Amino acid sequence: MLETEIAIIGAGPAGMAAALAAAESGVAATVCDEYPRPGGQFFKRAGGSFGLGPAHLGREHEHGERLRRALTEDRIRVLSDTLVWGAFGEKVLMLYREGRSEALRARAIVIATGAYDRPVPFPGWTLPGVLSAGGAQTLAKTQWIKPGARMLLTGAGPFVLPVADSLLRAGVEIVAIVEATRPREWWRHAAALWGQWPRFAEASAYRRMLRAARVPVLFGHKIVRAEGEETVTGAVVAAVDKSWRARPGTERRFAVDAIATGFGFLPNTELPDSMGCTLRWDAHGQAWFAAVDDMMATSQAGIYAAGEITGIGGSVVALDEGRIAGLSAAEHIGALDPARAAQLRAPVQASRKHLQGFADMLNVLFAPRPGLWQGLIGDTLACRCEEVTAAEVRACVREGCSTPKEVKDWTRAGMGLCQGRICRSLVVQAIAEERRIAPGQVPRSSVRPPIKPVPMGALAMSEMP
Amino acid sequence: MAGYDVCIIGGGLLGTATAYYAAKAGLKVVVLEARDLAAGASGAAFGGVSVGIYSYSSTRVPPPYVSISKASLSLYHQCQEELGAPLDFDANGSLDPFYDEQGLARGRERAAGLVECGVPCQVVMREDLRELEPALSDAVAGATHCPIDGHVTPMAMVCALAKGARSHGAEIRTSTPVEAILVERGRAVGVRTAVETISAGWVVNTAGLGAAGLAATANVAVPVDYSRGQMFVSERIPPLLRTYVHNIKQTHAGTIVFGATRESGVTDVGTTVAGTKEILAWAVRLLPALAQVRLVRSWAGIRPVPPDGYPIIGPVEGVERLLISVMHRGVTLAPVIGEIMTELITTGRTKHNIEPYLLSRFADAPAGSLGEVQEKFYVAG
Amino acid sequence: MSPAEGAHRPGHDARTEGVRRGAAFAVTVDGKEVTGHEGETVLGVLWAAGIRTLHVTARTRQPRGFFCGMGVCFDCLVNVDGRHGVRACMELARPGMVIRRQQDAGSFPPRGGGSHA
Repeated sequence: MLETEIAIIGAGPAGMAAALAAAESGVAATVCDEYPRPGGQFFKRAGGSFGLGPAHLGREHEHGERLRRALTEDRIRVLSDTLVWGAFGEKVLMLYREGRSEALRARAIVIATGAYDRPVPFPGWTLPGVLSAGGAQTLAKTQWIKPGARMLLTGAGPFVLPVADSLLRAGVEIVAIVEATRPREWWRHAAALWGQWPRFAEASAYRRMLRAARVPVLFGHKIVRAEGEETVTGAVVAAVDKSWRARPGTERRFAVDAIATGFGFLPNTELPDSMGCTLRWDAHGQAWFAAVDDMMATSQAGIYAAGEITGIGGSVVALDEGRIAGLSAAEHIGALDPARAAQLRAPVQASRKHLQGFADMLNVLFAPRPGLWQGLIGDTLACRCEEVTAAEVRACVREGCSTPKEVKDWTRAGMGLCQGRICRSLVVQAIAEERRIAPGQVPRSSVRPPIKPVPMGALAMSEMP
Repeated sequence: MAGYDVCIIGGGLLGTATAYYAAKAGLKVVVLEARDLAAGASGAAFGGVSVGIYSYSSTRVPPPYVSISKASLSLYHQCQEELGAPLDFDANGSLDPFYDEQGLARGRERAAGLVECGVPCQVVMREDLRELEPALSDAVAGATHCPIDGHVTPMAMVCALAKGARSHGAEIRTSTPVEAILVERGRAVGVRTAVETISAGWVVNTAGLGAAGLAATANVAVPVDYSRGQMFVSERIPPLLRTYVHNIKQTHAGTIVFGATRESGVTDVGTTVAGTKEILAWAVRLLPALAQVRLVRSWAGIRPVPPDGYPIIGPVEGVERLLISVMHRGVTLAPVIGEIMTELITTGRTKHNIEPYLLSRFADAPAGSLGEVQEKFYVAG
Repeated sequence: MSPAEGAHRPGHDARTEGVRRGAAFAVTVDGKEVTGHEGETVLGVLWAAGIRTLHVTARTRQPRGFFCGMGVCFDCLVNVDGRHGVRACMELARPGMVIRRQQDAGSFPPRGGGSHA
């Protein structure tokens, strides 16, 4: 059995920052990460066998490299290609790696499992070539393979900008960027922009990039349909009203071979949920996040959460939260005395608060609006794994099912390999609409191991903690 | 007189089965379920519908038990026709594997006893077993094969029974916990919930995990032990299993459902590493093809287990018009329990022999109870 | 550019030009030889070769490619060296890999009641 002082789950910005803070405090940390190399989603990059020049590498590349190099220090052990399939008892994590199920015991845990793109259904969304924005970016950025020769990007909020950047560098022709909001809606939040100059600089750089590439930007529009038989060949967009409902008679078709959708993110909260950590509903994020205090402590002693699972804030907030969590975990196990920990945390807490203010503004401005779910009807699939249509989910709710568990039991929605990650928010939305309640009032299902599917042979030979 | 002919406490397999048969017989029925239908053991159960497999017994299954199991199995077929909702019920036979000489001897005894009761059952050795279930490992020396056995999806059965009961006029109320069974002058007269008193000609206690606690409100001692069963299900795979192999089945959707642990006295519904390892090791040993198949989900339920392992069925000494039914193999017996309860209510007798299963056999046993029934006992996931 | 130009053509290599890649090797996809490079995933190799349908679903027989690209959605399933249901986006391509596009397992009988499984 592996033992460690601090176990960190996730090697994205938050996880890496937590590991470095732990190491600085003289504490041994073990980072468990599902992916082949650290960096998470924000610092994802191509492997060493790719030869890349300055024209290929983005703004964040150097920062990511610095963090990865720092992780190689002695006190930090990084277990890549490692899935945490469950958390048990007194801070025991069960890992699946190299074909085996092994135990890792820790004295404190930092959960930094990040987020994934919010699924948004519309007719044709399951066609090959219809991708999430993150998925499109990953293929382009880590393997320099074009998700499509001609692509349309549709979404809400600034994440589409770095995605467009990655795609353009990879040689993709972007026929249009389709943004659901309109610039005039942004100025209400102007006050939140004060002091956030680096964000301005970033945004300006992206705007220049789009102008240079002559990418048309359509404001106040969204995708309504993907067309094609075996693969996507067309994207139909429409103008939207303030609720993002499509305005009749405004449809426009673009010939494309891939579509990327970017409407925000959902946090990977399965692990904190299964460990009994309190979750809080965020009405703008329309998701349950891990509830933390300003030391990044969850409701469970010795368990901390950092990064996107506490609230969508992007990489800069994640880096701060990771550092705070690492320091708090070190304090928890007695490696840092409380006064010193508080002293080290204070500037990072201030920075986080400042940066979170901006992120909060983005979350409010680009929060999903009711019209976004117009596609959740009829034959359009709600559960992609088990092929359950939106109509079947709605019918089941009308017949009396009021919880995601009941919908799952009746329709199989949520029983597939993705374990509900894609359909859960859609089922909740359907229940909320049919029962005329807020999505946050829909009861949550419990989370059970395995946190992700694991081969039974490995579990059969599990190491006992 | 206001009220109902029958008030049934508990909306699991036994409660909904009783509701169906009673309503079908023309009785005015209400079912009071504290949570949701099948929230307890019924929602967690594996779903074996079998005469030939019975883990808790000694080798020979007692004839009265065989008799009610056999009757219930027939009723399943009838339910399949009558209820009109899909049960995910298959009757392709069961196999109870053994691995050694001892197991073979037990298997022979089991088969002989069943045949004597008129139930087809034979020992099948490895070579012939391969034809019945090619996926079974070579470690299996043989199995008892009972061709009339089957399996069902318990929750589908509960929902179908509830639908059938409603179609005959039964009322089913969920989120309605019962606080006490009301007894006046030695006769059950109804129940009390948080908001009202409901009067009924008969009270049927099929409250599973809550049965002993509720019985205590009528000064009736019901000895029940509790045992956790951890269960598991895989991803969908191509057809691998045709029969119900004790205790693994392949559902219509293609998933492999298997389990369960037997953890005496455990009353929370968590999944453990030990339970996962124990059950998965057993499953992979039995069906080696499962090694590369992925586990997708786990859950657990708490079984209410009478001290001798056999069901408690029927009337209660000292309190008239009160019936109780508590057991840990409610899946197989659900329809026949519904029939027995209905017969007792309408005629005072039942054609089935329930003598061995009366509560009175436990006259000297200490009462069991979970005390206050807690959320953590109920099926999660 | 006219609408049809530049759009995906099967067989057209979707790799970005001007990027030096790792060593090239061969894999087979449904028996046909396809080129991969060190550092590419199975998804990358297939997508670069213009292959868009990675599997066909069990219930409605619909083609699927990939969606999340990060191992969450389990859409990009292929059969690799006999292992079914492998997420192409998470699996590094290796020389000699035998990749088969698959049809999903399972069937979907009519439902009316509940199920845990």
